Amino acid sequence: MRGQLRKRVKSALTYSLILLILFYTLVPIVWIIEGSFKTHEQNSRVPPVWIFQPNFEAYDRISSRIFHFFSNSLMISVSSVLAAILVSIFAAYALSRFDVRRKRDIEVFILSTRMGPAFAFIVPFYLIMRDLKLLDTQIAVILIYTAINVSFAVWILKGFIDEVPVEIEDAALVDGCSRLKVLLYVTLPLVYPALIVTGTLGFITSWNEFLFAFILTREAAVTLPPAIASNVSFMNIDWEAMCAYATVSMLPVLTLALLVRKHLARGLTLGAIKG
Amino acid sequence: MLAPALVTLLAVMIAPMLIAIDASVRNWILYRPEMGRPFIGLDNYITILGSQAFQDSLRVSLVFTLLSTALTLLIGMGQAMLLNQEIKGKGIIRTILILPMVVTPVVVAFGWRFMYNEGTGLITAYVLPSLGINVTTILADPTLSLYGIIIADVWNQTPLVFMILLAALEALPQEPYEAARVDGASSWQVFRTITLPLMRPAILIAVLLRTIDTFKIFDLIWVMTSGGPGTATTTLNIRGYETAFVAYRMGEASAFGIIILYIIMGISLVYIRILVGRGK
Repeated sequence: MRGQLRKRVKSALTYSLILLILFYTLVPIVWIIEGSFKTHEQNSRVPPVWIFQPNFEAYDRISSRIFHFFSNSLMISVSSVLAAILVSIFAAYALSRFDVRRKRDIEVFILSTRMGPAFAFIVPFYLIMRDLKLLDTQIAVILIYTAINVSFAVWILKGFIDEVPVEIEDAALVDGCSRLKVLLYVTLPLVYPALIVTGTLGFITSWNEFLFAFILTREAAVTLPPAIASNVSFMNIDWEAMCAYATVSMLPVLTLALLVRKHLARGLTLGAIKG
Repeated sequence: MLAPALVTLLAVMIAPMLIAIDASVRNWILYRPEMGRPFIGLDNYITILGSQAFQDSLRVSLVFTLLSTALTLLIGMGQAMLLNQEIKGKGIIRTILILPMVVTPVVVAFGWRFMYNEGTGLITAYVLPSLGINVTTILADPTLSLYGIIIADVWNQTPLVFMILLAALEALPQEPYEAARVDGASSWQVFRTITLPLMRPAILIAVLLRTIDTFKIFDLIWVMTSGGPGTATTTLNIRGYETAFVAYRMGEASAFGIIILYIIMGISLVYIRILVGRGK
């Protein structure tokens, strides 16, 4: 009987703790989304209102500007992800399959670029873009995001390719397929989850990046994060409009994360987790 | 086949880094081109390392990194242990717990500013008063602002630790636990003598990733306080940004970047030593 009771208490404790951390995790997200549908008076109310008649005024107010930022973010993120995957697939395949000289050094070098601080190269990068007249263009931002994505995409892709048995490829090679054909028609179809993981993670990384976009763009190529940042530096913040900006900015990545939830953990931890 | 990836990284990151090393030994002020870029040896490094501003920002960076890493580790470990049980709806709960990590950091910063807002914020106007804590302003208070940002960072980054540790917990062997149960060990004893030692490599990896990412953080701080009030939240990165893009002292800013690079390399080497050293 006492064992039973202890079990009941323990499970009640577990579930209340879980409820608590779910609350802690979700409240900031819900609070921002709700804030975008509230009036200024509703947002200032204490104690807070959780259920109310939603209105879309804040979205009306930002509609003239947000499309510009959103399309910049989308173009830059998609382009840099596609470029990074294209480049990384070959590198990952070579590191996984061939006897590359100083392989270990190359792998560590690629990973170290993921660890390296942006401030160690941001000043010259900015000046080079300035000399090339590429400041405030999508190209400048796409370039740096591609490199950032390559620095982890190679690792994730290599991890997946390592798991494809060499024997499968050998059979195709014996049949006279070229290496390129083997990679495209045999290996890649087998590791398509890797492409989803890398693509999603690259998209999230590019979509969320702030520092480089902030420094390299002024108006024409401004993405969502620096646009939001410059609007919150005012003394009188239009909280409703900002909540609407924030909601538009996080919904695509949250949706993407939910769609690929099965593979998300492996990607976010740089392949430190298998599964 | 390796060439495209390596060329991308070399051209976009490594070449600029080499230019930064060159710039770091020159006196180079962007808005005074008539001055040229005279070679001044290690003067930039000596000026930076000897300045009070550097030491202050290093201290802020270290406090931020240490506290944020420690808190994410504690909470992430707690979440991972909680979910490493037979629980209804485990898959959904796990997915929800990962979500903060994909929210745009600028949005995280804005959201917490919104909740900290004096007079109307969810936390300052409602949660804290309900708990009997009389704090009305957080980010404008020099003694509290850093902790205010750390809490936002912990919310944002705990999922990384949680995911790594949960995966490690799920992969633990079952035999030692059965043996401990037979011996009648308490749960705390089991945790300390079996779980923790077995989890050591995963914990070290989580701590390494977190330490480096936290040390590099810029966006959250910039949007929440821009380094203020005063210099209460001015980390090395904020100071580096100001040197480069407010003062336009490109030589000094480059030296700043290289110093940050060395600190991060130092931290990584220590961790790798610990990881590899124990593996032998």
